[in-house]
Amino acid sequence: MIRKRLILLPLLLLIACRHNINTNNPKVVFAALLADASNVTVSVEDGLTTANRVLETIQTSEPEYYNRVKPLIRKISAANVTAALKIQAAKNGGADDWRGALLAVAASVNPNDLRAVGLRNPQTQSVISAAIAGLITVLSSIPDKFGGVR
Amino acid sequence: MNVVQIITALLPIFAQAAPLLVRDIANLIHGNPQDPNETDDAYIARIGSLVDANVKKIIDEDADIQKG
Repeated sequence: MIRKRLILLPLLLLIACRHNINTNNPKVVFAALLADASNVTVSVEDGLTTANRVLETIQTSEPEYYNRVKPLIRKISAANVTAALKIQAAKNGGADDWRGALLAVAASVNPNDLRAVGLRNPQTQSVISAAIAGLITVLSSIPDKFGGVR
Repeated sequence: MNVVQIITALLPIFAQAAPLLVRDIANLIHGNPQDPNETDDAYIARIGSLVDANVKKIIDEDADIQKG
């Protein structure tokens, strides 16, 4: 079974190597890169919104966790807005360091500080873990996607 | 181990060896493909509008997070 699935890997990579643009025009390549970066900021904000909604439901039952994590969610979101605006400015011809701003989003908090530890209710712990999992995954992917190429 | 787990395990290796490939995979996943008949200028304008819409959405959602 694993062998069959491994056969699919080169196929997937081959598909991945196919550019989704029709040209080598640098302006198009740059625009596609900025659009991808912009989509990452949307993924981060979606993760933040999900985490925030769940967080608001436990404000009274888990005040320690809420008070610890809420400022971190706000901090990531503020950094994400900065990155989104710099990506937009770069799209409009500006020389903004959008890549640095995006990496700053990933570095704005330590993901371990978001983890659901020390909660009173074990059920709440699993709900929070699920709520922040997507956010942590997106944040962790940013350096791989945008940290290697300058 | 499924295909996704295998790719996930391999991604850090590709990230060091071929960042552009990783970026292409990300592009494939997110998907902003240029239509075969779409001119470069039209494509740039279309995904430029997408970036603008993304910024508006992010600012709106950030406002909720900051006040909540």
